[in-house]
Amino acid sequence: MKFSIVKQSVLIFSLLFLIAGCGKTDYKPAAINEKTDKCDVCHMAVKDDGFASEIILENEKTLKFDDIGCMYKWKSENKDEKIGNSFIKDYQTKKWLEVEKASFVYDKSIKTPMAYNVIAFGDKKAAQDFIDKNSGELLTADDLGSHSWERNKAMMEEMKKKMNMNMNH
Amino acid sequence: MINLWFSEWKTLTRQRSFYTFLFLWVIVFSLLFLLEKNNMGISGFTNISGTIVNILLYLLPLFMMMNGSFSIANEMENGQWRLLCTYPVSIAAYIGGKFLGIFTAQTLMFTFSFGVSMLIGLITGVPLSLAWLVRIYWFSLLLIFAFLMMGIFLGTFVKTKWQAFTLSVAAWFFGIMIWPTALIAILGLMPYPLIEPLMKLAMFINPAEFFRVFLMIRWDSGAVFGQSYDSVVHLFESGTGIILLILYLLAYFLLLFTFAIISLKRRRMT
Amino acid sequence: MKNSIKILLVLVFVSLFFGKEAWAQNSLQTQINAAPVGGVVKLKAGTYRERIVINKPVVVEAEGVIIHNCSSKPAITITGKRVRLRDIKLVDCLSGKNSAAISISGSGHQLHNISVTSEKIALKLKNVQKSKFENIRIHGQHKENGIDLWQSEQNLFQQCEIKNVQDGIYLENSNHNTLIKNSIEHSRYGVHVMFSDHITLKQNTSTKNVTGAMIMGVKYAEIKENQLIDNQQNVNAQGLLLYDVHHSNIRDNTISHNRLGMYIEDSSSNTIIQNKVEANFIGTQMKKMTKTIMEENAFIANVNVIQATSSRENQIQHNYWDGALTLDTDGNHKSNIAFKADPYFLTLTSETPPYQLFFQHPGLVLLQKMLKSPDEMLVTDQEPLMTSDWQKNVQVKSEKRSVLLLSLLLITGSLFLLYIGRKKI
Repeated sequence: MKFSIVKQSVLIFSLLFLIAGCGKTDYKPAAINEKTDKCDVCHMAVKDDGFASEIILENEKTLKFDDIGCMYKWKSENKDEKIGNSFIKDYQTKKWLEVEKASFVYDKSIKTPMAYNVIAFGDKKAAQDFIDKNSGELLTADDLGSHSWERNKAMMEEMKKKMNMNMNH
Repeated sequence: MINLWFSEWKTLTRQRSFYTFLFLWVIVFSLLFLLEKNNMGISGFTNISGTIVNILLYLLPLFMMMNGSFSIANEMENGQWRLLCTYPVSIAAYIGGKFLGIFTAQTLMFTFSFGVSMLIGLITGVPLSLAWLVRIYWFSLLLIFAFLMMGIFLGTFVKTKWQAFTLSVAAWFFGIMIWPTALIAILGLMPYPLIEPLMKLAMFINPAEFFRVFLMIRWDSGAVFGQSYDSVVHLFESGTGIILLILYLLAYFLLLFTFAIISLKRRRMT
Repeated sequence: MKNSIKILLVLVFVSLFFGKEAWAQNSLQTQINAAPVGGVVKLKAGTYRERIVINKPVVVEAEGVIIHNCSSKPAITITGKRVRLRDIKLVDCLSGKNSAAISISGSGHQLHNISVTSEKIALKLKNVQKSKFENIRIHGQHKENGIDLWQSEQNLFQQCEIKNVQDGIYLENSNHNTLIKNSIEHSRYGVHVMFSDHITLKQNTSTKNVTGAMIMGVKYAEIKENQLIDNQQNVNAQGLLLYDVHHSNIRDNTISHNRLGMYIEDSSSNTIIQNKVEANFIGTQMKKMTKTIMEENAFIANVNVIQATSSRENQIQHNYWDGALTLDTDGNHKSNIAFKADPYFLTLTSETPPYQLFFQHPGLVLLQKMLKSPDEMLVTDQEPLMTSDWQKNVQVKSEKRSVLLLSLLLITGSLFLLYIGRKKI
């Protein structure tokens, strides 16, 4: 009797492994729940808007970020974690994009939740249109790796100006 | 069955050893209520409430399982069981009567001790909140209910009191003491996305876990379990939560009851 | 004939109903425009349906004035310098993403006794300096912020009451602002400060929000005597959150009945002194906190007191921990036994959040004791306080009568049934 319980549980466990083993290569972005999701870096609530981003680890743990800058901060702090795939919302359509395939615009006038001032577009042309209409710098996913992620440049510059003014006095 | 219920109730309340429980509960609760003295009668879930809940989780399941399993093992040992087999009593009535009898007696004793401890608390000037007391009381009753049935179920497998004792302690140790350790060890082998559903499943399997989570959610503390359990918290907080609890108790009782009957029937045949 | 009477009746009714407005055709804007620079305008009381612009230094007294605004544009726009506005009531009926009920820029303004009911941002401040906001009452729909500051400096907010908004008072890139005695409830974040230095938060009350006060990317803040209470319903709720905060002073705050009292991450060189952290599920959690002084705080009745990971060079001492074993042999009111707290639960749950279900589990308490973390990972207070000032003057709540009643009921009830049990058959 006891033996059969052991057998059964072994069977169930191996079944679970089997289920989990399937479809591992296909990472899908999880939907944002505005009420309960928070950024895994800065702890702010993640809104289901054009700024949210997400990392799916190889073990299928999902990390959510309210700003793509937080995602890159996490990446730089957790270099030994194995990332399955990462996603970001399209600034205009609010649909999930794979980070590798998206185009990005950086401009200090763009307001983002954590003031990293970078937004994403699925379509390169849309990104270029945005730059033509406003201003900014077109970046690819590769560029983001070397992007400085300086937060809140506007304020920093203002502070510098003030400091210069103080010095001039 | 009703006869068996009353006879069990009667024999228990006439045993002198039964009244040791009175001392145990009065001492335990008086001390626990004294702890609350530092807390200025905060009715929310605090460190003291946490300690009390944990002490109840340490004590009640163990004692109730021992009570349940001993009462059957005892009759196995002293031959009363064989005698009973000759009577036209169904096994279902036997187990049902036994459960009801012990449950009534234990609940009464617990209630009495709880009341006395409250009185002692009042006399010594501990600021007690009514809602706080009521929550602890019904939580204890749930534990008594579930683990008494568990004890009777375990009792149907054993031949001697010694076996009953070992089995009860083993079940208690697994279900209460090393439950999180065991789960963490097993779930560590699982792929990450399965951890959350398996944790929820495990919560339903172990009644001590289910009652503990239910109590804390009803005590406005569900948020502490985090994002994964947000839906569970909302479910338990709502009116459906109570219905769910009743259904859970029913399902749990019927399951163990059936298994206990099957187990005893097998033994009757041999 | 009958018809004409009907029409007449309708006309009378209409004139009765809308009379005030018709009479107020002398619109608010013309009244304001007529005022000389630096003059005082007393607006005629009544309900108006217009949007106004105040762009010169005037005092506008608007007692009894109600503005109903059904456009996505702001009901009141204030620009220029030294505008004073008081006693006005705004009701918005339309929402508009990112739009405001009152839009303000310029400097030296004073707004007093204003009530706003709106789905929009109630007060939107952009480049506002040296202005004062007092007795502002805001009722929102959880959609936008109550008061929203962008690059605004040296303003004072006093005694504002904010309910049901997204963030009660939101400051971004706005240095040197002061918030005193405001109260925010049922909102997402009570006070939300981002990238703003030299902020003062004093005697504010933030209750039943997701987070009482969220302070991020801040230097030189003064956070004093605030009440951050009952922020516990959301799964991410907490009293005070400090993220990337430096050189700030957190003193004399009452942080009680929250899911998590204080959460501190990536912060350094702060002083956290004489706060009362009481009856939270988790008292304080710290990650990567460095060079912080934490003294004379009282940790009372928290279910799980304190947990820290990757925090170093902190000076945590002379706090009161109600769960600590204390022994004072030299009479200096400080215990000789160090208080230590293990980060096991925090480490376990940050790796695998579903394990939060084991919060305060009897078995986990045991496991934590068995897997004791190395000493350098523990939060250690070498000399805990024996008593705390916070313990005095506490109102003791006790329901003596009802408890006595219940206890007698339980005793007599169970005795009676026990007796019956013994007698039966």
